[in-house]
Formats: sequence, structure tokens, C-alpha cells
Amino acid sequence: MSGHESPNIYHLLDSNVPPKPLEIPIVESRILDLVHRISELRKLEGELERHRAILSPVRRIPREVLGHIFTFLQPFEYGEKVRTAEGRKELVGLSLVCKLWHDTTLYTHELWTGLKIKPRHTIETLQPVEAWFSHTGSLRRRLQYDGWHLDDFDAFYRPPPLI
Amino acid sequence: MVLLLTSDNEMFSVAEDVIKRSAYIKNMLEDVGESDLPIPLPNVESNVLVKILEYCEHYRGEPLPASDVDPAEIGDRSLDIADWDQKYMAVDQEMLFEIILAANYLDIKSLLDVGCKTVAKMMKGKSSEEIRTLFNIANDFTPEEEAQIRKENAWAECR
Repeated sequence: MSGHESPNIYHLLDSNVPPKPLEIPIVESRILDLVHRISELRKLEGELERHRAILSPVRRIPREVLGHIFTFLQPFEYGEKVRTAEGRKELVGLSLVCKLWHDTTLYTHELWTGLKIKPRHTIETLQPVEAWFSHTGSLRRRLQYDGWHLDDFDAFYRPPPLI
Repeated sequence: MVLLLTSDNEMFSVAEDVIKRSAYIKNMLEDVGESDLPIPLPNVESNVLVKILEYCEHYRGEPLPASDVDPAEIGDRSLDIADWDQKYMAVDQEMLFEIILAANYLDIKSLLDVGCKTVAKMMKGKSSEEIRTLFNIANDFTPEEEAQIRKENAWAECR
């Protein structure tokens, strides 16, 4: 029996009178019905948000402007544009927002030009470092490694001078 | 005076030294010379142009940015925004992005930067999920794609 067809129990809603035994299943049925309707509304709410997202103004922002926004989240350290673990985490976070943002991070060369790694990073780290710098295009790259730095990644492959 | 025609067919008559902050209009005026014909702005609605003109009017008389700046040159990237600019940008999200789009179209570099900084400040310190909620962005990654990106970048978060 649906809640709409059940006998009137409204007198119970606005009072503190306990339900009669015959009224209890009616109230229970009404509760189930309301729970179901709320669940349906929640689904609709999700659909509403998905439709609102279509009109979201951020969708109309071209990729180059989006990339320009990202460059303002570029961390600086002592006037140098380098990404430490925190800065790298922020960049990965941006790339995980959606596919467009992922592509935008990859095509915004400026975001990848500075990198700071610590001595605990071993030779195995170098491959991802190379991949990291592959996104810099023709921009100048800067690698900081425990106090010393290289201003161009090509130099990274040259053996250090013997003293 | 320069006549501007917005996408919703509203005509604006603007002082030349005000609108010349737009490199797009400035170049057009230099190329075409004096004309009584309005400049059509098919990408800008009147309510947005009103806001853009408010900015140009405020900075009237201030030096225009140099046009020979190399776009690859990395300029000021601090998130500092002047007080007046902050108040100017205190608009709803829809208008904020409309201003950014119009500043980009009209090539008003300083306004574009202020708009982009404002959005960057809203994003600062937020997780991917929080950013999606903030801007109503759908997550279009499959779980596998998302996992792959995290895997590829796992080293990057290593301190």
C-alpha cells in the first residue's frame, strides 16, 4: 500500500499521541516511501549538478589562459622558480582535476622549468626527472640538487669536473 | 571618441585614451585610422564591457605596458593583488571568468593577469576534488587513468 493511499495519520504528526497497533505499519510504510522519494531526489540533485557543470564558466576558458592561471601557482624559493615536493604535489593535483587540466599542465612549459631534489633521490630518480624536463619545450631548465644547481638539463649528463 | 558595439547590440562611446589600454583596440585604431563606424565586439556582452571600461577608466593615464615584451619571458608571478583590483574582482564566478575572457580577447594584459591571479588564489592549497567542486568541473578520468597519473608522478611527491 502506498503512503498516499493509506488512512489518515495526520492527527499523529501534530500530536504526541502514541500510534494504535493498526497505525504502526501505516507509519512504517509512509517512512519507507519518504526514504525512497528522498533517495530519488538525491539522484536528481546529482543530475542537476552535472547539468550545471555544462554551463560552468570555467569550461569556456581557453587552454592558454588556463595555463596562464596555473603559472601564478608556480612556487618561488629565494627568488628562484623551483618545485620542491610540495610544489610538485600541487602541480600533480592540478593535472588530476580533469583531462583538459591535465593536458594544460603538460603544454604549459613554464610549469616544468625548475626542479629541486634532495640527496636521498637516487639515480633511479633521474629517469622521471628527464621526463619532467621533457615538458619544458625550449625554455631554460634549472635543477637544484642539495645546494648545487645546473641551469640547463643537458649539463646534467656531463660528468662533474675532476678537481 | 571610439564607438564599440557589443554582442548584445549595445553601443558604447568611449574616450580613446581609456580604451587604448586594450592592445586589440589600440592596434585596430592604428591600422584603420579615424572612423565613424563602431568596432564590433562579438565576444563581449554589454554588462561585461561596462566592467572592463570601469577598469580602463580607473587606470586612465597610467603608462601602457610595453608591447615588445617577449611572451616567453616570465614576469611577476606573485599572487599579490592591489587593493583596488581586489575590490574590482569581488564579483561572482560567472563575471570573474567573463572578465578574464574579455581581457584575453581585448588583449588587456594587466587585467588578464589580475583575473588569473584571482582565480589562482581561489585554487591555492586546494585538492583536485575541492577545485572540481569550486568550479563545478566534472571528473572525466576513468579510475584507471587517474591511477596511472598518480603512479607516474608518485616520485614527484617524494620529499
